[in-house]
Parts: sequence; structure tokens; C-alpha cells
Amino acid sequence: MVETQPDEQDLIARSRDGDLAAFNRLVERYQNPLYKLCLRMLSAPQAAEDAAQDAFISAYRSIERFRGATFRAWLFRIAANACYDELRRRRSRPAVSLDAPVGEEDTLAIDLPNPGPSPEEHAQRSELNRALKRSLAALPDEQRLTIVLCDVQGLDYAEIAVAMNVSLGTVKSRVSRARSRLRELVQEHGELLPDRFRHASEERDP
Amino acid sequence: MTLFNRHNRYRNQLSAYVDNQLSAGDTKAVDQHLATCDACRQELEGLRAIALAVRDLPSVAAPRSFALTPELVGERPAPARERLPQFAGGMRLAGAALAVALAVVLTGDVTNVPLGGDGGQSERSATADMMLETDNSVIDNGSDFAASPASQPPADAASEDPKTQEQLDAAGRDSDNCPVASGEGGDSGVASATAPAVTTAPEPVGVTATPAAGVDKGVTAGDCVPAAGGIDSPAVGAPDGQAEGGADDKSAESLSQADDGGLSTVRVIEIALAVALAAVLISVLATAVANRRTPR
Repeated sequence: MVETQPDEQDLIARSRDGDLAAFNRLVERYQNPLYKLCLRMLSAPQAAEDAAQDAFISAYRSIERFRGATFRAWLFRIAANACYDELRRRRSRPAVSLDAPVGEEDTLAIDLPNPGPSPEEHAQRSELNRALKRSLAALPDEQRLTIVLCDVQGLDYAEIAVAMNVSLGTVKSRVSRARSRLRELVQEHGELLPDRFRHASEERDP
Repeated sequence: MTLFNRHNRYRNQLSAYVDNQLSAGDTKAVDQHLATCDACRQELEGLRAIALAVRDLPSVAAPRSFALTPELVGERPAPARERLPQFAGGMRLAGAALAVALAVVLTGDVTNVPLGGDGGQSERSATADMMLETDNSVIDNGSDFAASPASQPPADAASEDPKTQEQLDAAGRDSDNCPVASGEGGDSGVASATAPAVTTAPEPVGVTATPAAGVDKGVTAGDCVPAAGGIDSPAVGAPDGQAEGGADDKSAESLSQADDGGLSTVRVIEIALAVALAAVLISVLATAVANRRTPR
């Protein structure tokens, strides 16, 4: 488990005393990953922005309750709750959605191409990313959160346990199930995917 | 069968294996199984590929700063404090109810004196004893007083209405000047003073224990004296207005008699109420101060 760093402890302590500037340094540090979590959970930039802002506000308001070793996981739990709130709202009035359609949220973002990949590889990669995003959006909320925490954010299982408020054993089985399910969905969605997603072993074995 | 079970168990561990989250022993066991199981090797590669693909999704940056401004967070309500306003509100309500009861007793006192003989007064002294015992009954009796004088002498009530209102206001203001008597509590109490002490009466049940303790301390007694005096004076002044207002000589006489004997009994009630009120107010203050000092 990633321990909270000393300077972070200090910022947290000062935030507890109501030092907004100190808390804003934590915001600065975590706003990118936290926004990313919200975006992957909600697949809609505006809703993700709102959820991220709400998450920081409630984190500030409840920071005195933070006792854990890892601030990041605690913060992500709050963000996850903000996303769940939004998803619940969305379900209660499904017709109202002015946001971009699912999976299209960053098609305009230009991936800086790595020096290497050929145009075909790049096209393949984009296709894969689209399929991934669609598949992620199609996962049940809890499985999507699992994947986001584990693979998008790179949390270890102990941190995920904190962020999802479950036991380590539960994390293990959730990751396993979520990843299997995601793989199935990608296979359904992505007929043009690179071979390794469908015939993983054949590629390796001569 | 056993082989299939074991295969399933390893299969379920593959994701944790991909993430390096297995113990050394489990990792070794999975390694050994992988060496003999094509299906699991295939599954492992698929899982690894999907995990990598998700990890490699283009990174997203926050579209704007989420830094908090004082406006965004407002006054941060500490979790401990969030619940306290309700409690303090209850206490203030109790204070308001007591203030109303006091005002009502004063009004009842003033309006009853010309009509009520000894019977009324002894009745009131009996209730005074009860008041000293439980604050609940203070409020109940207070509301009784509100009902009886208003209904018994309709003629007098009509002529005295403005005066009564003044006294109530004076009492309300006094309680506002007293240690706490928060604006909201005091205002609502005064506004509803003419009729409905009944509605506020049930509220402060939970609060009643503290004032009794406060009274014992004697600290409160000193604080209360000015309050009681302040409220007393309009009551004393009122009979004059009443006499001028056209009451006949007889009632004027009974007033002067009351001044000697009756008022002292009534004053006991009033002081008792004022003491209880001050005790509630002080305990409200004390809790407020304590809350502010509670370490976060």
C-alpha cells in the first residue's frame, strides 16, 4: 500500500485546521487522476467535471474523518461516491442527457503519437480505445469502478480495498470478474482488434 | 474432477497474478499450473492484454482547476458541529418557551389581580411549587395561564390588549438581552406569545434536566436578578395603567392590597421562572462555548 507522504501529511493536517490553500495543493496534486476517474465512470465530460468538483468539496468538508494511511484511496472513494450519485440521478431521469454520447468524450483529443507507430498501428490503437471505452461504459458500475481503480489508476489491491470499502479477498475476486467481463465485451465490440485480443496464445505459440 | 477444481482455482487467481498481488507461495503455484495448462496460459495473456490496453488509454487532464474557493466551501461545518445546531436550537426553543411562560405568568398575574381573590392566588402558589420541581410543568402551567386569563375576563382583556402586548414585548426584549436568547428563538417566542405557548411546550422535554442543575449553582442566580427585576417593573407599572383605564375604585383597592400580600407570592413564581429561563440560557451558552472549543 502506498503510504501518504510526509509533506502530504502536513498538507492534510493543515487542511484539517481549515487551511484552504493547503487543501488546494492537494487538489492540484490529485485533480488529474480524480477527474480521469470521474470521466471513465461517467463517460461524459461535463458530468465528470461536476462530480470531481463535488468530490473535492466533500473531501474538504470531511477531511477530519480521514484517518487512513493512503489519502489517494480515501479521495477516490469520495469521488466514486460522487459518481454513483450522478449515475443514480441519471437513472432516475434517463431522458435528460445533454452530454456527449457514451464513449465519444475524447475522440477529439489528439493522442501524441509515439515516435514509433505506423499509421496502421495508430488507427488500430484508436479503434481499440474506442472499443475499450464502449466496453467500460457497458460494464456494471461496480465492475467499472474496479477496472478504473485497478487499471486506469494503477492502485494496488490494498488501496482498492480502501477505496471500495471492501476486504482484500473481495477485491481479488472483483478484479478477476471485472477483467474477464471487460475482455468479453471488448471481444464483442472489437471485431477489428489486434489479434492478441482474440487469439492471445496463438500469437505467442508458433 | 479434482484437477478441474484446481484449474478453476488457478484461473480465478490469474488477474491477481497479472497484478503481482499474489503471495510468493501462490505465485509459485500458479507458475507451476501455467506450465501445464494451455487454457490458463491463453486466459492469462488475454487478461494481461486487456489490463495493458486499459492502462494505455490516452491520459486525460482535468479541463480546469478544481481548486476550492471560500465561496465553494462556505463555512465548513465540522461534522461534530453539524448536529449541534439542532441541539442548540432545541435549547433555544426551550429558552423561548420559558420566556413565553414567564411572560404569560406575568400577564396572567396582572390581568387576574383585579378579579381573582385569594383562591386564584393560592392556586397559583400551588403551581409555583410544581414549577420549581419540574420544568415541564412550568411550561404546561404557563400555557394554562395563557388560556385562563384570556377567557375569564373578556371585557378586561379587550381593554388591556395593547398593554398586554407591550408587556410581552418587554419580556421578549428582556430575554433577548439576557445572556443568549438567540434572535430566532426569542422572536418566534414573542410572536406567538399571545396564544400558543402550547405548541412550543412539548419541545424542550429533553432539556429540562440541565436548568435544575444550573439553578443549584448559584452562579445563575446572580445573573437572573437583573432579568427578573427588568421583567417585574413593567408588571408593577401595569396596574397603574389599568386603574387609569377605567377600573372602578374597588379594583384599585384590591390592587393595593395585592401589592402588599399577593404580589410577593406571584413574584416567587416569576422569579422561579426567570431563574429557570436564565439557567436554560446559560446552559445554551455553555454548550455553544464548549462546542467551539471541541478539538477537531
